[in-house]
Amino acid sequence: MGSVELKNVTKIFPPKTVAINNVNLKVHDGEFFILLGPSGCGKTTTLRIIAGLEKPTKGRVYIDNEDVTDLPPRKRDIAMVFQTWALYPHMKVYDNIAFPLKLRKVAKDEIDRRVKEVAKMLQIETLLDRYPRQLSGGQQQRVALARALVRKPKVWLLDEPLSNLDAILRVQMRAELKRLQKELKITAIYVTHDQVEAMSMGDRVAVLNAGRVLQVGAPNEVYNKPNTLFVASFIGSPPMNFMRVALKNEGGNYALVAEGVSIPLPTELGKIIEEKASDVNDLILGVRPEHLELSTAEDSNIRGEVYVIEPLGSETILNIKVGDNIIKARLLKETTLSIGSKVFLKVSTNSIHVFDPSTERALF
Amino acid sequence: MERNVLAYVLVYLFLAVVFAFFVGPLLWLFLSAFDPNASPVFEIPSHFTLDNFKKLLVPVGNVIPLQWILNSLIISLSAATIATLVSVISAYVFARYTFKGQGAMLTTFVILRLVPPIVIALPIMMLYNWWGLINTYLGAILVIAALITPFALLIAESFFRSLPVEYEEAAMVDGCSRLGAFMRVTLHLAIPGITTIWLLSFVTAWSQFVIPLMILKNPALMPASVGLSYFFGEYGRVDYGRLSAFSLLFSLPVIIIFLSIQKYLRKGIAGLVSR
Ligand SMILES: Nc1ncnc2c1ncn2[C@@H]1O[C@H](COP(=O)(O)OP(=O)(O)OP(=O)(O)O)[C@@H](O)[C@H]1O
Ligand SMILES: [Mg+2]
Repeated sequence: MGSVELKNVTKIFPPKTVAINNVNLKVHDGEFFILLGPSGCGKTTTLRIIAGLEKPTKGRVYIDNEDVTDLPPRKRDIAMVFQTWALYPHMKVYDNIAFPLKLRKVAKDEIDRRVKEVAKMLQIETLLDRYPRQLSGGQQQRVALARALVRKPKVWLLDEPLSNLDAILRVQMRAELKRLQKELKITAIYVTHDQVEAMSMGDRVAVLNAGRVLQVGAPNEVYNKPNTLFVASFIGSPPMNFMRVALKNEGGNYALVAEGVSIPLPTELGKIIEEKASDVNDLILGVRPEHLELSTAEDSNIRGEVYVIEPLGSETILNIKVGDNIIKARLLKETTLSIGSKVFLKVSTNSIHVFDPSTERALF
Repeated sequence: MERNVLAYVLVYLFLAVVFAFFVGPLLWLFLSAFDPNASPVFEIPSHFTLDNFKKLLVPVGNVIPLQWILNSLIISLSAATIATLVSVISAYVFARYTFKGQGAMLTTFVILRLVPPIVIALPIMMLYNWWGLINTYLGAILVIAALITPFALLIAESFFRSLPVEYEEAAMVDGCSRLGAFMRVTLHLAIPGITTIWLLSFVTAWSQFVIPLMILKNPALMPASVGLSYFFGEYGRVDYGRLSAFSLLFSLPVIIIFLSIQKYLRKGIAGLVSR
């Protein structure tokens, strides 16, 4: 069992760096939980507070519903991969991995079996009698991961554990890690700033920015219903397109309009926006590149002209000039369009997002 | 081009002068130690002999000179070890914890270090009289250790600060207590630094003069640095051969220790510099 809960946790580094600001999180037992956010948003600090390496300035930490805020790391039954790996320089790879087991007085042959098992999974079994300094960055990172995975603690805390691997190995290791986690049902809190990793691995994702948790939810939830401009722009690749629009109401017929944009809205939606927006004439429309499709002139609700074409093999990214904005559309076919030609696009009202620029929050 | 050559010549000339300045006296010492007719004049001996060393086994007063070297070893090894232990443990606390008055305490140590030993000699003598530590090894060892400790502490503190704290944190996550993490991880990584500190302490202790001169009045307990003065006999007659042989033996332990832990030392100094 290993649920983790942070209640109103704030960490201030003297004199006044607010690393995390009133964070509330509940990670369920056996969950693969992702902390996602840009550099410096407080991901590592959050993990270190859960590990007990950093005392929160305010708030409490619970593991398994037990208040562990004042317990040292060794009494919390956690294992951690450090962002900087922190492999013991004076120990060989084998001893690095075996260290946590030795401390727990596990029998020698059991240690040997488990070290070799985890080394095999991470493809480092040939490196066991080297010193950390004799390894490449990616190899060292896998040793650090092995040292955490060799134990079966209540919680694994993984700080960007795959960041240094090449693309192929990374995809392999993601799958291995996820499989192992599901098999052993050990709660994992996984830090990354790679949104693809977050979407593909997490049961739930918490998106952080500037020390605050902006949104927590399943990957498809944060993708489909981002609650803030930040979450909307951070998740998805290429990122969501944003355009300034106004809400027009002509006798109960609502539409979002701007130069090159005219999207009729269902009445209820129009009403919600009208009610919640601080200024209906200044709204931000968000549309994901993958939700734009080519259409005929009369079906279209966005029109512009082709600015740049990026063919990527299986797909094509069209850069389109709409009014003063350049927006991206992701097409799954090759296109016959050429630069400068007129282009008609259509987006379903189910896949649009509207934000209030003054609060940066989604309006529905 | 020409200026370059000139610069080289000047640099080498300078190095040669420095070298002569340091090596000249040592060379004289070395030669006269094996010279049957050593004199203050620099000369190549007519033949080499070990007689001067044999004379060190003949008592001066009623103490065999070799005893002084032994005394030096006893005092310096103990003082250096005590100073190293004390400074490493307290430096670790200084480097890893923050507490009130930390800066003030470190400053105090620096000032302690700057005070010339002779200044505290009188109070120490009075205390020692009281405690009965005059004329004991222990007395000399304690004062010398106390003199070295502030300096050793400053070096140790900067060394621990330069060691990444993450290894220790990893050990604590892996299941160590703080003390366990220190013993199993930090101490291993600190070996070069600790060796450096011990060596510097030893060398400082080895060349102490004033303190042992005051505390150890009994010739049988004197260290070599003090015993050396006994060779300047009455009426200014000096046996230069014997003096040189003794001086050579006096320098030997420091050189041997340095060479045997040079490997660690270089790492240690590199560690100190990389900070
Ligand atoms: N020991 C410290 N002392 C002072 N400030 C710190 C300390 N550790 C972190 N910070 C600050 O706290 C904030 C959060 O840092 P943190 O390391 O948690 O970010 P992160 O999300 O892990 O970033 P990255 O993706 O770059 O690893 C940053 O502004 C950082 O400068
Ligand atoms: Mg980090």
